[in-house]
Amino acid sequence: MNPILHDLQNKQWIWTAANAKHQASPNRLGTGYESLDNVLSSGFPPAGMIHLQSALGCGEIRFMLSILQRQHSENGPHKIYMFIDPPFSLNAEFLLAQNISLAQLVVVRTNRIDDALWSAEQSAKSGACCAVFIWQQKLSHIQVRKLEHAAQKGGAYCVWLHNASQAASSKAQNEGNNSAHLSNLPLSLSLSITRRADNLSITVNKQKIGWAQKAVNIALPFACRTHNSIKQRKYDVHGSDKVVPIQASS
Amino acid sequence: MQFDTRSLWIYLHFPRLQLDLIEAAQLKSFNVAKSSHAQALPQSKRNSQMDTSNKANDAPRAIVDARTNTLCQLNKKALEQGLNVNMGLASASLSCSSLQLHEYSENIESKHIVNIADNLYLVTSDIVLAPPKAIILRVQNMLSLYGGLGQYWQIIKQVLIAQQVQFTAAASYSVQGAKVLALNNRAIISDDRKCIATQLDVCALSHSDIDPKDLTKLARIGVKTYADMRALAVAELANRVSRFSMSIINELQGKQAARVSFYQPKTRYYDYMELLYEISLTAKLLPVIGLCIDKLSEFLRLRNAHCLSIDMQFFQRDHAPQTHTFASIRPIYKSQDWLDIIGLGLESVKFESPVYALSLSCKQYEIAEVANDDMFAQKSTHLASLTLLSRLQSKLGSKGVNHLHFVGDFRPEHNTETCAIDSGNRHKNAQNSAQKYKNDYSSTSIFADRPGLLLPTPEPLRLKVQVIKGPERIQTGWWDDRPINRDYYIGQSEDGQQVWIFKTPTQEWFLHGYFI
Repeated sequence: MNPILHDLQNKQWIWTAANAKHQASPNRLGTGYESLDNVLSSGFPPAGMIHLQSALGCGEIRFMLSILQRQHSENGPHKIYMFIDPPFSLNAEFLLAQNISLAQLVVVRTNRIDDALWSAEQSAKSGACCAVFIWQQKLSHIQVRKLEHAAQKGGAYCVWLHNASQAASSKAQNEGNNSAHLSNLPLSLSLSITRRADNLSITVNKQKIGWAQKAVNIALPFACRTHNSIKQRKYDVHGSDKVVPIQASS
Repeated sequence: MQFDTRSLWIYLHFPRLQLDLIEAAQLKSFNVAKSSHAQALPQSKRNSQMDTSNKANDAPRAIVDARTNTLCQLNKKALEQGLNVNMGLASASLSCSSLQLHEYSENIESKHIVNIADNLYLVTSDIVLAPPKAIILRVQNMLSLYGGLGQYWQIIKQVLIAQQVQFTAAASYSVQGAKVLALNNRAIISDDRKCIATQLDVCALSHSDIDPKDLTKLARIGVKTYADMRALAVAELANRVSRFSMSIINELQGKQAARVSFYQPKTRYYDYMELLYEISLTAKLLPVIGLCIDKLSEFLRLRNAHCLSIDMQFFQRDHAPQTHTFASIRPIYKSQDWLDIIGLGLESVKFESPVYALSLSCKQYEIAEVANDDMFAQKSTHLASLTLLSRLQSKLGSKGVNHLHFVGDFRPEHNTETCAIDSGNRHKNAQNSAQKYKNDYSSTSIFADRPGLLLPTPEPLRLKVQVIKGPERIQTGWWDDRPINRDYYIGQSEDGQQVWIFKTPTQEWFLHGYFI
């Protein structure tokens, strides 16, 4: 064998399809949704950079947190959730509802993108963080690779939240250039999430160990403090128009 | 304070303190330069560089007293060139063209005397400062601890050698006696009274504290050495000299105790360092700061202490000094950890003009707690997280890194509080209080259906949304003049965005949050 190739294989930097079966299961993080586990070769990778493309506010963080919580309670109950430059202010009530202790949560505010990425890299590789959430529209190949390495080193997830609605508008400008760019990034996993009623439709754009997959539906219903005792009604609301009840679901 | 005349004293005299200080600094900066360049340079170059800097260190060097314009301290090389102490500056520069001169500063020496005393204090208790050139130790009460003068003196000598200073020392049963012996270069360390007396007999009186006028008076009647003086009756001496000189003479003869006050080391750390050359690049400044921090870390290590913040002052040539505070969330003492934080902090610092000196002070340090936690499980994560937060804070400023706190208020704008992470202790407190909230509330899930992201101020609703839940009326805040009266609904847009919207009594719709 080519000595370079041999060297790379010794470092386990080369993955061959032959060892897919027994490499997959043990240290992958199950998502808890069977259909999703099937397309993800039994779960999330143990660490790395995860790209989430979705509209802001379709339950993307609830989805991630519900999965991360399982790992968090098992491995490192003292590990930190790091939120770097969230688009608006984080609501403590939401986080408490997700069973996250506020002491294990750090919010970082920066003025420059470089500082934000630096903080993300430092956090990811420190080994103190369970997950690092960053909100960015565009990352270069080098930036993604740095974050991916950092996340692998620190055994953390670096979750890159990518606003799909804004991405769509910018995509229109440079004609699919963006998606080509995205597919070349050295990410561990890239997902697109869209919401249809109570279901999240999750498309695997790209994953290490495996192929891109078609959309999978998982149910992520809305958490309710009144235990569904209030009848759910649906209204159409637009701007300051009057509220018109159009349908009453039982 | 007065002490009996039977205790033994050691007088330490430092004849060339400033020169020692300069040469030690030269050597250190050379070592730093060597270590930082060593990797970059090939072997041959490294050797030649070592030679040149050794030469630089070997250059004849002298300290000039500006008041009298004479040399007062000379290094070995300068002495070999035929220069002498008290030589005029003009003749000195004529006879040795490569002479490096520094101006004498009593201030520097006095500061360094305190430094030496700080180091000595770790091994001996009663120290009297006699700046700028001397330190006096009371030995008597340390003898039983160390088991004799010989052992005690070995320990003291080691400390002084580590300080890289030249000294002469003499022991005697009075402070004056020890001083006269030391300044006459009769360096005997002995507790034998006879031996001390014979040595003292041949010493000139001129080095004692006796008033110079009285010394000339005594010289006129032929009293020059201690033996001469001892031969005279006390009454005869008392007729001739002032009362002050008489008390010194009594002290010298062991008839009266010395009035001294002992040194108490300061509880706060302060270090001032003058640079050998001016530096304007922060990157170049770091190795020098490293030397300062090394001293601090040694200081903390000896006291088993940590510190959370240090202040550094950078003295600029043409501008006012800049002061920067570097804080760590995890209490640390190791110089490498501090350098890491300072390096990040300095990235955003710009100096208006080159820095010629810097000072480092640590106002508060705390005794390190012995942690009895599980060594392997959570401690490493805890330390790693504190280190991480310190790093982030030093780069982004303390306002950039925040914890969230939950406040029990129904108004969504007021239920979350961000607070900076200050120190290890507060972090612990925050953890406890949040833990309390968590236990109190999460089980009842009253936090459910609240959005993850809240807009800082509600915006008029522009999305087309369908209401999927609501209304939930929040009408409160009448007690502090910020009342709200809103009907909250949860809506879902066509893109699948779930948003938190509310309607005011005037039927206006606002967007207030996203259910991320």
